[in-house]
Amino acid sequence: MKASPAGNVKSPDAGPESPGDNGLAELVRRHRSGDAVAFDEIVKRLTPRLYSLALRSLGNAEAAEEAVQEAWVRIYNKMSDLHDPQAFEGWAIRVTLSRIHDEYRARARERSARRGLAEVRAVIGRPPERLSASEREDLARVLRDAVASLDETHREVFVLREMEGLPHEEISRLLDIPEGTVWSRLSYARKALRDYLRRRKDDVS
Amino acid sequence: MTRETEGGGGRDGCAHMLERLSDFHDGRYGPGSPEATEVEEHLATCPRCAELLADYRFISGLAKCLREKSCVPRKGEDEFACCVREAIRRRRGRRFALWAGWGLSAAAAAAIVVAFVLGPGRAGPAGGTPAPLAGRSEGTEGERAAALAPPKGPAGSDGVPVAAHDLEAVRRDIAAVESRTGGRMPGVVPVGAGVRGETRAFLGVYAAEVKTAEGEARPEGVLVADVVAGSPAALGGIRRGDIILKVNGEAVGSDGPLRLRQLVRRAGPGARASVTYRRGDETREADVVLAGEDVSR
Repeated sequence: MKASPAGNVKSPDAGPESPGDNGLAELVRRHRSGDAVAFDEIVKRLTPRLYSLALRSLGNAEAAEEAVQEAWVRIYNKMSDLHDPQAFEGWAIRVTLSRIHDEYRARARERSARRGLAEVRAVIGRPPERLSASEREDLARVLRDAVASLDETHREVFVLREMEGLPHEEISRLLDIPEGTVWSRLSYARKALRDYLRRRKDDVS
Repeated sequence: MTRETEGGGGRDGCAHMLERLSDFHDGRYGPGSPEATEVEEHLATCPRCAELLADYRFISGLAKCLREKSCVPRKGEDEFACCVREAIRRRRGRRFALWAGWGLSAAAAAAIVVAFVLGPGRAGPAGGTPAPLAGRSEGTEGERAAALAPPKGPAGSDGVPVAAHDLEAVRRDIAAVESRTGGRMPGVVPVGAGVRGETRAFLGVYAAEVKTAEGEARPEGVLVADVVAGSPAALGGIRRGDIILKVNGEAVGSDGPLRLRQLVRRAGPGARASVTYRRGDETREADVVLAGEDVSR
């Protein structure tokens, strides 16, 4: 991969419109040209993906909708910050992940930090697929706490890889980072999460 | 996760293997590759690293289990886009008339309404400009984009050109014509249905034909171009962009707003009515109580 003058690494095979950008780059250009309905179409095309990220991270449909809605407001207001329309999808995902994190922290203040630890201790060690729905939900809360504890760069790659199931090359494209960086950030994230979960498990008396 | 192993150093595994283990877990190395072989040989002799790998698998398994089967907002895409639009508008603190017909075809429908107003006796829509397709998502991107683009607006009743996307101006036009014609507006059901001097059944929608691309059959139902605030339609949850299909089980059909007016009129003021409408891909039903509006002009 060659580096562009801006320092971003782009795939040498990427044409004017990357195959995976779903026509978003063109819609962004149209929006910037004053097309009144282009942004609406952008919202419709990308909301399912953003909502999926939000729902899996927040675990609550209402919170997810609020987070995505607020993310779109930010995206709209900061559209001028985006220089390359082709990078819109990844940029929008990053804005959304940031908003999701804000929403998560805001709601975390309403929750007891230690709730569910007893349940966690009881179930850790059993394969997740053998847990009941309520046990999985308890673990989900703990996992979300753990993910929220990561810094932004590592949280992004973990969420996209493990919670969205995206392949590494797509994460690389969306976040505009080398694929090798995706692998190394995942390694860091997994180790950090593992340490966090072990600390939580040991905290239970 | 597995239990901590006592003795022989900490729980973290071998520092030089941390990234290898993550990559191995994530399927970076093909079976039988030198890297995979190195990891497997190490795991056979290092219980701490084996434990770390097991923890990685647990975390991945948990994340995978938590993936919802369906991840779409509870609101439909049109409604969600509408909410986004409203949120942006509130934040910006000013109205975006430019977006009045955004994605919902309401502006183009309003333009069609104005065309009806200005052309007595005309049965069809204004011009040959393709009108937005309410609720449709098929077609090529170019076709849909063309369909969603607001058509050139006709002149208003006072001779001033009306922007096709300026619903407010269209509503003023409708009100102006209503005051001259006693509420009779072929093709439009603005605030109710009835005859001047009567108490007329009042639903509270501005309705227009659902337009299609040239050559296609006219679809069923009428497009709600706008809803009067506080009206039975508003209270029943009907919104701009909905397509009304039936009233009390009787189909509006492809006869347009005139038919809707007839059905509302037939139900009568004060009557309870069931309005079947479509929003996006979903068919809904609203139970409303038709108000009675005394028209004395």
